[in-house]
Amino acid sequence: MTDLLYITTLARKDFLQELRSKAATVATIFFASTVLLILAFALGPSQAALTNAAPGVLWVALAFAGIISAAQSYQNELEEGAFEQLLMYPIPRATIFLGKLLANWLYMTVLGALLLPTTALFFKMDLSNWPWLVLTILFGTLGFALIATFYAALTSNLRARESLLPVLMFPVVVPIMLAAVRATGELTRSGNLGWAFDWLQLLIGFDLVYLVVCTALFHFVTES
Amino acid sequence: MFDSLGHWGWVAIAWAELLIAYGGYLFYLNWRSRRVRDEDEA
Amino acid sequence: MQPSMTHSVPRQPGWLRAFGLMTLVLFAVGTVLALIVSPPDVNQGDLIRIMYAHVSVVWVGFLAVLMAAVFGMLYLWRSKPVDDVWAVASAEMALVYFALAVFGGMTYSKPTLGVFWDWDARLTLTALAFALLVGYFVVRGLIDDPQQRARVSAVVSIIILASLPFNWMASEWFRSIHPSKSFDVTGGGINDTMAPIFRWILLFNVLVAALIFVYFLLERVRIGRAELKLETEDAAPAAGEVIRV
Repeated sequence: MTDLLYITTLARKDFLQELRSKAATVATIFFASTVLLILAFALGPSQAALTNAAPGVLWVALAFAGIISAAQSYQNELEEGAFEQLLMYPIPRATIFLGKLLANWLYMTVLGALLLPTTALFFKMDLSNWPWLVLTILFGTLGFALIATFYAALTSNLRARESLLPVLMFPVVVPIMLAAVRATGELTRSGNLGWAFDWLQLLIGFDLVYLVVCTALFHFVTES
Repeated sequence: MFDSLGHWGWVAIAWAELLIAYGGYLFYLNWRSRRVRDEDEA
Repeated sequence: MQPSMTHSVPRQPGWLRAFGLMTLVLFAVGTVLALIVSPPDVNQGDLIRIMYAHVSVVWVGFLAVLMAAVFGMLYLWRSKPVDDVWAVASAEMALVYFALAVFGGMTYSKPTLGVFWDWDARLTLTALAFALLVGYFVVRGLIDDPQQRARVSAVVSIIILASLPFNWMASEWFRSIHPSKSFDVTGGGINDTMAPIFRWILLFNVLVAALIFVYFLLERVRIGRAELKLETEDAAPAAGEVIRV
């Protein structure tokens, strides 16, 4: 169970670091809000258009913010050389990955919690199914954070890593983006819970598979 | 421009794509093989 | 400076040359079957012939992705550079085949559906696979150290393989409209409504595409092994000469 302790300690360290790095946090929130506003202006003011676009807008904003935060989470450590130090600790590499994953996931969830009511407000979303929406955000951001955390580590010591991360990530996260947006749409528009659950299943399946795959492969990514 | 192509026009394009791709890769293999040989003789 | 080796890089062995020629002949046979022997389709007329070129390429593309991942796993397991040669050769094939698949899909789509792009499930999937493979080679190009490059490539290729089922699901469910079978444009599979003659010619062309893949793979690996041998035999490469994969 000491592994679990390592994971949570690392997660807490990373998460607090991200929150304390006020510049990054403010920038991310500001960026996400800008995305919302631009899209609201571009797609509105027709209520129907806004409501239809709402799920997509929410997840696009979340996705952008998620990529930024994931890239940041390695940036700080790399610059101080702390990442190599971290790798030298006698803890399994997998716990490092899981710790960072937890931090990124938490961060994205917090962002999601902020973005959901904001998007609902601007884009006229019906939040009556909010418990399921929360679940959707949890599983959707987990999947996204999985890929982001993994690929951020992979690209962390490559040139052009900032532009490389979204390029590498995009074809892999398409299924979660699709499932998350569709689930959100079913939960806030048509109210077809059955279909929403189907999309949620895809999300959960994705999360499970990549949790295993990425944790197993992380070791190879951090060798140098 | 594309509307004037009949069925066989499109079929021809599809097959041309095959030939270009396969031929292109053959050319690439050839180039690479020659490069290795030149390195070897160097 | 001593002669670098007493043996030069071997020429293509006879059996491989023969295999290549046989494959070429079979390709010609497949083309004749597709363009002449095959009757036109009831719905698509002569456009059905594009299907032979297109579907065969898609299937073999997926096979190539699988092989790249398998060789990647092999490399991660035993760290032999030659495994990476097999892996990158497979990946190159996959890139070529999926490029063909995307363009072929568009070539098929325009005359049958009226548009080059229609977010059809298979076309979307092949586009995603192509994007993944481009990422693979971009990453490879950014790493100079051969072992790290091989290792990272292997990881990426495994992720690519893992992503395919999910991307397939996403592509299928993106439109949630089931296209009528007879207009299954990019036909990832053999339709039940396909008459036997079409099925047989398609299978033949799939076989031809697979044989071409095998030939290219073997030849590419042969060259790759020679490159590897040169790299290891010259302890220090000649000034400025770095063999990049």
